[in-house]
Amino acid sequence: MAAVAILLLAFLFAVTTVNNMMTPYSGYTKELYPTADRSIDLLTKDEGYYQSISDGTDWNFEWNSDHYSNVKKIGLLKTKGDIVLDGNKIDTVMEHYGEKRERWWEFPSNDTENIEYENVSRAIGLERYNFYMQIRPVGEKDFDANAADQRASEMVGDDRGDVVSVVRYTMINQFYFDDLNAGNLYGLRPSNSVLTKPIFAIPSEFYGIIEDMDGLTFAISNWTNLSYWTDSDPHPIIDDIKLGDTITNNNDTHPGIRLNGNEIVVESSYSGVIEMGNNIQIPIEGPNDRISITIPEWVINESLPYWKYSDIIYIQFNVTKPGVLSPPATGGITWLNSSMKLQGDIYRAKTILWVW
Amino acid sequence: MRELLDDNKGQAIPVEYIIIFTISLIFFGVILLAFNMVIDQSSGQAIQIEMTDVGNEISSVITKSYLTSPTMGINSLTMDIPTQIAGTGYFIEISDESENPFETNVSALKLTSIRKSVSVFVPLNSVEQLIEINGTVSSASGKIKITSNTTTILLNQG
Repeated sequence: MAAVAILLLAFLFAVTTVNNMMTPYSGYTKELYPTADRSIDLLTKDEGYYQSISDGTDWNFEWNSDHYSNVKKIGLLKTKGDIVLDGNKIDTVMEHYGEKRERWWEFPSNDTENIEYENVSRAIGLERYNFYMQIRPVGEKDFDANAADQRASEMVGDDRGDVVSVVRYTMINQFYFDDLNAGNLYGLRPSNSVLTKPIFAIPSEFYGIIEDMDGLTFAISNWTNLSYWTDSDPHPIIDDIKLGDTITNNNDTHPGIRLNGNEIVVESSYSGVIEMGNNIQIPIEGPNDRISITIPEWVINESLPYWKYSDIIYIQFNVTKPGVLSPPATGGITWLNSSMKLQGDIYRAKTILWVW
Repeated sequence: MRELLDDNKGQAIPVEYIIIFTISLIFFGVILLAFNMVIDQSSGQAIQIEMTDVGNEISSVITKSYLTSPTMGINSLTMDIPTQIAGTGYFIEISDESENPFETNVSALKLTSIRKSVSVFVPLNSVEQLIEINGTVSSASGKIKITSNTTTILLNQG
């Protein structure tokens, strides 16, 4: 009996071992690549689709209104049959870094909420997988590839098991505000000859940019006329930044909500990001200094809860050392959309999708 | 002690043969059953892998068909598929939304092996949200025809 039992056990052991040797891994890896390939094809060659009371391909408006379930399919293409990706759609879903042509995007980012990730997974057909994607400019010398590579390593990691990546080369059309010329600003001119309080405004038909970019960013350069720019001549300072949605009294005087240093992000081409406390003090370091100001959407939401119903949003600041700037003699408004290219900026880009 | 060992008065040789034969029969029956179960399991896994491969090829052709569907008229693509997998034929169809075990309320491409009762679900990557996809095809002909227009993609026997 003992011999029979031993024989039986030996046989079962042999069969199990042979079975494990013959039966390969479940095959999960084999479906990763074709799935990723299909997903990136549909992402870069389709406009996407939403369905609610109406339907259409401009799903980014539904997404910005947090109606995620109405977006049936996410596609980044601007127009069917074309190869240009829509910068507005990209900004709706993906987080951006850098400016203009050096800008690159990723999804998900560290700030991506679970509900948004789940809905994106569903809408690009990768619900049963994990994924990470980037869009990078191609051939732009100032593009920070190291930062993008670093983020990819952090998000994809080394211990995911089998990971596939697929790439598509496309064109991208991005709308952004070009730099404003400090020598051609409009605003409050108390002495009728010098500009002390420039005012910048964006009309309601461009509010989609604020939603897509999660805030408002604009830059001013060419401060040549503002100072003699010698060592003995104190450099100008920007302070007293206000945000409002009502323009009264011939554009020159109006109420506004004063922002503090924690509510804006300011970057100088001379000194990088300027750290400020509650009081805003932005030194202009030289005639070629490029001052970039970003007001996050949450600040606009808190300061102006009904901004989406207003006709205009404005930002006004004070320049402590006004120089003689170009006329006109009367006040006015510097329209941010006047610096936007009507057709956008079209350039080459690369979309990378990692799936595991 | 020797007397007890040499005592064969209670022994019946035929009964002994029958008992040993029965035990051997049961023993080898169990071995055979275990062997068949192991082979079935391996076979099922191999079928699953092969059908996943075929399903992904078909899903990719469906995607391409959608992306190249004309604004007028019909686009038609034919592809070859294996007539049998692991010695048995299979069906290709679009699953119900509730059948898909991997995604919530989303259809998938379903391949079902006829004799082995193995099913795989291959994602359509949300193409089914953009256009209606229908059809059931058997692997018997070795070909599958995918026709598309602006509103529908159909799987037909090739």
